[in-house]
Amino acid sequence: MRLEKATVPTPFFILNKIKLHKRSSERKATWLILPTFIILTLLFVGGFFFGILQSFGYFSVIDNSSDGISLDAYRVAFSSDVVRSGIILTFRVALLSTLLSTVVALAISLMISRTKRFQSILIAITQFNIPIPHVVAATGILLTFSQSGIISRLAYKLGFIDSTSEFPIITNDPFGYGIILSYLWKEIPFLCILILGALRGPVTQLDETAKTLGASYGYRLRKITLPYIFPSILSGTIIVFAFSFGSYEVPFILGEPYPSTVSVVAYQFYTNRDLAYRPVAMALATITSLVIGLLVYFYMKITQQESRKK
Amino acid sequence: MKLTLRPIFLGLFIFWLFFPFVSIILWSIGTGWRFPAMLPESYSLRGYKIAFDPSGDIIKGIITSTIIAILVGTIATVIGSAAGRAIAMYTFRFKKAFQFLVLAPLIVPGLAVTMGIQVLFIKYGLSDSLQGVVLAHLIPTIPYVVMIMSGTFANFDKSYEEQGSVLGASRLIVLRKITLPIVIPGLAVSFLFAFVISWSEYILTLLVGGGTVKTLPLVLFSYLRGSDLPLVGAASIVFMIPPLILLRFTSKYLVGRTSSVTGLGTI
Repeated sequence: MRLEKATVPTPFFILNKIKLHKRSSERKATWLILPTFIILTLLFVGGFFFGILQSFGYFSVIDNSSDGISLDAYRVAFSSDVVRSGIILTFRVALLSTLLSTVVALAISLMISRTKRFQSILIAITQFNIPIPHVVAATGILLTFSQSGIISRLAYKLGFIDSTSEFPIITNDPFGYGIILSYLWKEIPFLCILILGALRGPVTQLDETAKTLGASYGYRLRKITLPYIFPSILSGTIIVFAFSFGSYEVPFILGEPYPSTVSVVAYQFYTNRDLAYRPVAMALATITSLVIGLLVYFYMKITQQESRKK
Repeated sequence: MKLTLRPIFLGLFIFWLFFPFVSIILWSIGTGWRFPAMLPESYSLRGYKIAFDPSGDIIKGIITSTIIAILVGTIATVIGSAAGRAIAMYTFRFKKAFQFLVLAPLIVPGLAVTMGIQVLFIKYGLSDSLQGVVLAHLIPTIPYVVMIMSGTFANFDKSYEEQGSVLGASRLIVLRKITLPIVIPGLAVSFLFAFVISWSEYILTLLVGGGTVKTLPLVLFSYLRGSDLPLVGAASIVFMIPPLILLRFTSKYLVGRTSSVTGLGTI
């Protein structure tokens, strides 16, 4: 038999109060979100849609009398060799950067959280390069890993190579090693901070309790720690992936002129003397945004299903 | 086994984090540093002399960058905190849609959006201006603030504020004496993130500022095109000191007993 919930009639004056409270709370929230809403709608949504319009040849700067919508920019973009090789490079860089930085950051964070004596020093060291600009990170990687960089000199000293040209091309290379290294350098600490922040939460008490009850480290890791820090890792990977997919600075410094990542190619089209290439740049921007959006969407769907299974 | 491996991994990690700094520092003070030599043959402060030339690009860049980053950090923190509070503490219509709007700029590249809006900026006289650059920098910074602050306000006990106002404190006093002291860690981390993102931004500044608004990243990029490595090194060092000073004052809130980054873990 189902238990019916007892319904005591709420007195009329209290009901009114609740309604009032709800309305006033809604009004408060509206004022609180209004500035953010206005700025993001005007600049972000506006920019996004104007970009799409321009990618269709609409609102084009060159001729205001343009005869409506055309898919020419997309056709040019997809038939271009520069774009195709750029897309491959971008995917490779973004996926490898995200995957490697997540794995390393998880391992490092767990190691730091298990270290007792030097934990605060280790956390301070990990935080150290969070505020370092990506441009500086890329410069550091360039000066360290280029053919005349410090690693190359070390290799010479140790007798591995006899001249600069024997050192493998890691920076400004076609594969994107330099770009990936730079992203790893910046994103591992970022993810570590996210994970360590989550590890400092209520999970420590749960973990302690399980420990006193005799659960092994591996068991606690699987059943308590990992499920608990999972949302942080999920958000972190999304931020890192989207960033490494669409960022411009690092691939510009550490990449090659060809193949280059989609963002660099798009900017080249945008700043081309021939204004007819602008819609192509917009088309690339639109495609990139859609691809990242779709990938993040599916990623979230899959991971949500996974976490529900658990 | 585990006991011996962990220090090795952590040691390698620290080595990896600091090696690029060592390169930059050595290049900034070294001269005549030909290939096989492990260390520069001689040292000079020429790079820094150019960097600190009062009429040079770098000093101008520092001033411009600082003005922009402080403006962006302040505006984004104030505006985004309000939105973060609304998300964490209130239910309102279209809340899901609003959260989506706030998260979207984290996923869609800033370059894509700014290229699209550039025509409007030109039309309304915002391009090639400091105001335009500040506006453009708000796009990637506000989402971080909203996420950090909604995480902060999620642990905020509203009854403190209610008790304050019941006892007769005005709204302003409640805000100053009760709310702000409780959420200050979140505000500090929000400002750190917004400042650093704005400080590091290159492509949005170049697009909107059109080369007229010369922030430090633009100066460093122009040096990178040349081959004066000591100058590149010195400029890099100068470039990273202000964010590090800011980190010095906010690091205790990043991963502390009151970690303020948890909000970032809630996409």
